[in-house]
Amino acid sequence: MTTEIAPPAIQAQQLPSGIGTAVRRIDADEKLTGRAIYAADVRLPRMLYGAVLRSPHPHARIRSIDTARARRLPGVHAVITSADTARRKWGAFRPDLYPLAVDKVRYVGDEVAAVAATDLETARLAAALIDVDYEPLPPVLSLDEALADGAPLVHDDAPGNLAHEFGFDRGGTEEWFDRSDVIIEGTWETTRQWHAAIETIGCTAEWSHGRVTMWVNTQTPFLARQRYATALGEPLRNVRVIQTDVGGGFGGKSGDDNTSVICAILAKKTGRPVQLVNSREEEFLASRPRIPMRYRVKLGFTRDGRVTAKDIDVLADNGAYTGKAQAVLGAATVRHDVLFNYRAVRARSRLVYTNLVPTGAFRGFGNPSADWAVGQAWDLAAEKLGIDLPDLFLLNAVESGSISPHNHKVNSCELKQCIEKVTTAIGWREKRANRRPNRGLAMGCSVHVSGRRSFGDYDGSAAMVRVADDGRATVIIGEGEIGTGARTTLAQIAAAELGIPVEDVTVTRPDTDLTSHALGALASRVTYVAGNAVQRAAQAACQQLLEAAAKQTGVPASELWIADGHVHGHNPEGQQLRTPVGTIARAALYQPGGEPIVGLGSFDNPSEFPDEVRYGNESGAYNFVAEAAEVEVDPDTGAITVHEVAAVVDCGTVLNPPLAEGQVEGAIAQGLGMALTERFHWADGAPEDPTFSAYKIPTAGMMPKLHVQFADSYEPTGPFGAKGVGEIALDPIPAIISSAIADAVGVRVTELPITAEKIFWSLHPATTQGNAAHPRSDKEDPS
Amino acid sequence: MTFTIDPTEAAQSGRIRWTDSVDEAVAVLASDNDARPVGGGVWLALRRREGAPIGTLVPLDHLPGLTGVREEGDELVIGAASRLADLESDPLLRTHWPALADAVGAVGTARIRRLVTIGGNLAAADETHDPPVALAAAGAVMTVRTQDGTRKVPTTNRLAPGELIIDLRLPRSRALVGSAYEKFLVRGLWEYPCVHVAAVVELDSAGDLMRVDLAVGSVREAPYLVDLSDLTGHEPNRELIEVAAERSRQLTPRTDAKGSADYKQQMIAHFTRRALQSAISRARHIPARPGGTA
Repeated sequence: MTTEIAPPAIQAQQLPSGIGTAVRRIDADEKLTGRAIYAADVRLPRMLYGAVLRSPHPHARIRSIDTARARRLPGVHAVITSADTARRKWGAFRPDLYPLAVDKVRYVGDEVAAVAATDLETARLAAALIDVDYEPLPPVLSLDEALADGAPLVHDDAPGNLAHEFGFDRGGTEEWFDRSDVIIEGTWETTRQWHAAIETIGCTAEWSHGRVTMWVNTQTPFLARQRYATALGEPLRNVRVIQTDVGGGFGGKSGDDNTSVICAILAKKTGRPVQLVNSREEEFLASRPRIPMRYRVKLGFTRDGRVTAKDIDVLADNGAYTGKAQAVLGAATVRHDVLFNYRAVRARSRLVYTNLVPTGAFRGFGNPSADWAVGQAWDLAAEKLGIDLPDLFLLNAVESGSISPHNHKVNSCELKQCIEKVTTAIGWREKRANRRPNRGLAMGCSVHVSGRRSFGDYDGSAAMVRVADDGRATVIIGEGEIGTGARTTLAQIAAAELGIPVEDVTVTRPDTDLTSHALGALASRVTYVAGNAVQRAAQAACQQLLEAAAKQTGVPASELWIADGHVHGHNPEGQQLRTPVGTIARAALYQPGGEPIVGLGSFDNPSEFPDEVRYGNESGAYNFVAEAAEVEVDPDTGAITVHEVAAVVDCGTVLNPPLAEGQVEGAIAQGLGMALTERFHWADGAPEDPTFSAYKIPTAGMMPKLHVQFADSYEPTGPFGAKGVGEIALDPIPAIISSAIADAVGVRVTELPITAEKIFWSLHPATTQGNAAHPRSDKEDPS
Repeated sequence: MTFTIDPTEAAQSGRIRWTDSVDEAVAVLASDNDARPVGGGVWLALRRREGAPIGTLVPLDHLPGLTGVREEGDELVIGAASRLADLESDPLLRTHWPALADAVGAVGTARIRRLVTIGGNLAAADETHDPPVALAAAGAVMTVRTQDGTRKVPTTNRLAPGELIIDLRLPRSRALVGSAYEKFLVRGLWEYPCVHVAAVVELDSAGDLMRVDLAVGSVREAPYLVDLSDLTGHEPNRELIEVAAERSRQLTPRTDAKGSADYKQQMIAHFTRRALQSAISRARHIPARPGGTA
């Protein structure tokens, strides 16, 4: 499926009222007053509480499990092990995860057994009473250990510990390197980053008549349902998933972990509703953090700064189970190539099993790892070419109409506008002209999709818009809300198309029994894909209203319109008509053979399902960003202060500026956390202290001055010209911070996280010989 | 009372025991092994978060004489139930012991400081805490009560079961005394310190060192006092500061997410230099004190 490429000029469009304005979130009141129902707020009669026993070993054989003591504890209703499960492996792409460990555990945190009891304390106490006899096995705790000759295998069916690999050479890479004047090479590594959502993963499950209903704080109810059914050994029809309020997703609640599955098994075993919610420690030990990647880059340029070829070799640390990691690796390998006019690209990418916490989707989906490496390589190239970085970017940036080596077809693209505006916003020229000691400046760009065709050949959305006799509209859609304000923007789209106030629009939460099929909140897709579906459904409902009004008034539908919740026009006598839409809807129904006003709308992303070597136009619309930062380094300690970050985003039409700004600001904060603050000290294959005491996410106090702007842009295939915005502003931040530090003090950090310590040792090479009792370790993450 | 456990709920279950005097509070604590004194309740809330059972709570902050800063003879006396938020801006404390005022102001966040009492902060015996480091360098003592009586011990001592801190006592500062507290937050946001150091110096009329005390936190269970006594009688110059820094660098901090032991050693040395320089310059430039204490 392909799309006409739009002309490069921005399409000036008259936006309807309510689009591009600061509409208040439709869920603001319930959240601010504490009435929102999150996963742990669900209460069902006779409900029990679950707890999970997890492996303390990174790799061990389970000799036996004795649950007798746990079962005897008063208040315990069930203790389950793999014997109580279907013993079926599940996973988004490569099924390799059992609901409860069968014979072996593969990481510290692997689920071994679980308990349901009358209260949480009893459940956790009982879990601690389960006696497991382990035979520890040699683990592989890093990429190098996993890839070593004769390394222990994490899974017997993955020789060499390779979970997935692919490669390509498009455009004759060697020839283009031969024709290059300047070559840049380097290797960069990223590390695990946790989503650290305020709300942890949780589920409440109840069985009735052979079907299970699961109230889950998942981002992707329909996709999760398919996987849960597989894991439970049940036909799809027996599983119903209802989305609760979601206290932050960031990719971490997209249904790749075992918590909900175990909850459903406990509920079946006990015949009662069971609630299972991760503790914060469990969230760190056993959720699906960002995938660490070791990313070798080679870039070629002509003398005048035109990029020629790019060659990468990527090793990704999958952890013990696969989840979405192989798709993330795919994005990390190809997505970046949409950004610049590469003549040829070559890649070899391998996903490697280790005995560490499994990894998965995280805001950016591989892009931040690609940007961490390739973005810094571009910074080095600018220096070597003697071209100021913004100028080098402008020389090579793509424009509307460009097609990547992987067939990404770029519709709207204001990347060059973003680069120019961010140069001004950060004061690049002034700061370059007035350099200050220990201060540095850098810039980066990134590209993201608006939905990606990842799960079979569908990346669509469908919606129903019902207009009732009270004049209110209900958008019935299964996409959901994870805290970004997506339901509010969908309400804005419906209201604008219908001509009714946004306060009169309700947007349902996903319920796999009630709403249309939806892929949910992933790949920055809801605004673009679901927005188009809602727009079409609202248009259909609007047309039904106008046709009903035409019948009722005798005025042709083409001469009627809806505004302010009323149908307007003039009757044949020239009198002004002004009838509430609810009145029209009621009259349309209350007549012999009457019908309700229900509009249906469907939209499938105009994209291609990429093939095994990642060739294919992933998305119908791409969003872009250029960002810049100024940092300061204390040379005595290596401590880093980020003074300013500027971001200019091309997300097409900005439907709701405060919501879009919030996405950009939050993404910058999360990018700064990835770069600077979020890390553990590791011991024996696990974080030593898996709590927020050790793992620091950025606070308001450390946030720099932000300059957030949006490019003048219009995406012809988007709803009112809009594209996705949820992830992109995170992607280049770590690379920009690293390049800015290099600009400040000449130290290039190649391995995340950037720490004061790494900078200190580089600045003070003579003082590295300490008298510490412990060997020096500046590598927090074993991967 | 400000406390994170719902006081109504706790009182109904008989878990809060209000008393009218220190004597009565000490008697309750002696008669009930599960009773705990409550200052701000932060330590107790953390224990409860860890699932530890909490017995009878004995609030202290309403008791007469347990709050505020006052001068008594040659001593500055700080009530053990004084809140950190009150102490950080207390004019007497800021004038006499800026290191302690800074350490008190460095604790957690403003919300935490409005809860935490200085006695509770010290009694928690947590090596990451700020005020105990400044108190150790200042040579503070604490007045401790049990049913058997009162004793005064250095603040670096551990409390015995049933003991209650009544107040903290520091010598009133004099001319040519300077103190400073340095805390390094390596990730640029609030957390327990990477390293933290307090220094106290006193100069004689010739400008030579009469006294130098240096305490380092987060390397032992209690603040570690670096022995610099051999440096007294010397001019506090760059070389002397380097000797002190080198000596503090010999400590063995622990590798964690905030840095390796090696790095922390370098940082202890660096912040030792900064604390000593700051304390020395404060000693040299000490302004005339209101009330003629100079």
